Amino acid sequence: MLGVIVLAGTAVTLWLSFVATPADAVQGEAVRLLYVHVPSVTVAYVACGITFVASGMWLWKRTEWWDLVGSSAAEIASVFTAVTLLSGMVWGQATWGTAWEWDPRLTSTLFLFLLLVGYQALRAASPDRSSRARRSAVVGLLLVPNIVIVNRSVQWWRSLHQDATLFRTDLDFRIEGLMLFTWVFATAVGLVLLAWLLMHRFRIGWLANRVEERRLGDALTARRAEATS
Amino acid sequence: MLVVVVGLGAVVVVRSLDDATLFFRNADEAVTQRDDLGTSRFRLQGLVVPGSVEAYPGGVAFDVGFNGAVVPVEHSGDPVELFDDGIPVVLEGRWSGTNANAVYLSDRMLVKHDENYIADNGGRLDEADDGSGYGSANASPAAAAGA
Amino acid sequence: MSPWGYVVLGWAITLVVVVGYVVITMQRGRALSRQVPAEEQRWM
Repeated sequence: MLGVIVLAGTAVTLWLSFVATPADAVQGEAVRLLYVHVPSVTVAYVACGITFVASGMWLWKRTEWWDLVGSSAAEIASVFTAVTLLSGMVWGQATWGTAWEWDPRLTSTLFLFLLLVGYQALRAASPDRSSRARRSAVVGLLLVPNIVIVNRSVQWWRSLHQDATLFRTDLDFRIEGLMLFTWVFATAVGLVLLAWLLMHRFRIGWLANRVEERRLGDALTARRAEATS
Repeated sequence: MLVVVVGLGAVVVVRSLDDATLFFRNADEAVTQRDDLGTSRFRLQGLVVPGSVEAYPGGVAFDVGFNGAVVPVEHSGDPVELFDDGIPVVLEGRWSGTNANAVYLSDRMLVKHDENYIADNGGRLDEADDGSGYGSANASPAAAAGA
Repeated sequence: MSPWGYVVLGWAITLVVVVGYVVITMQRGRALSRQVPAEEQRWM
């Protein structure tokens, strides 16, 4: 069901982005990258937010469920952060004339990506399930502070990257009708995709834990059989 | 794997302390800090003053303005694609000297796009596309709104 | 590269990465569900 919505929504988004929306007065056709770059980062932010909440909940409740929610969302967040960086490099080359600068917004986003990759590397390096969950919950709590830095970086420091267009405290949106609609629509499709991915990724984590338990159980039975013989 | 990620993170932090906190100086600051800056390299930000753009062999000369101050720029190399009157640009280069008639010698140009998105009404873009548009004096409505 | 070239490139990179991730996720789920008996697969 969610999958069908995502497929149909993606088709509509592509039509809106490539055909229906006008070119920008300054940027020209390159503005069409807005509708993929910004929704990607929104999905990444929301996924990081889920990991943050799940990390806090794990430290409180210590249940497998919260560990799996947090780690699933973190993996999805790393994919969408990667996509944000890549589409941003292409957009930057097209409009700024450079694919990468060590500017505050770009640097802090790269750091967020490394934090998410580090989260997965830490999980892979942890010896057992409870230390894995504890360590990743601690890293997960760093995600939202990092996002605040990424999001505010364009105001706190001077940046090549532009200021917020939509998420403004003065609510003075700097974008017109159909362009705004396409942006919001693409973000909605991205969030439905996030829900779909989260369910499927959670199931993978759940099944992987069951497989791990079965292996441990088998090993234990084998050792008992050895001891009694 | 973990070690590699932590190492990369450290590199990113060092780079950001180096560069990111003061990514550029605005034109007015570049003027007031001219004595301190000397001929060392820094990034300069300002709006291309409409009508100031003049192409010369191997480069382009123009003025950038910000907060009332105007800096004359000599840029060697091709201007970037979106370069035009009224566009905010970030330049890399240095002052030619510390005297009042010094110019900013730039060798790298980036366009600093603002957060405004406005539908193109035709005309201006076709002119920009053929590469000769930057000499014209018409200011774009978007840039004027953003300034 | 032309502006349209950048637009197509940026979208293509994103779609390839995201669709690739979706496919990998579905394959991982399928491979794991074969290793776990049906009565243990319930998670909701």
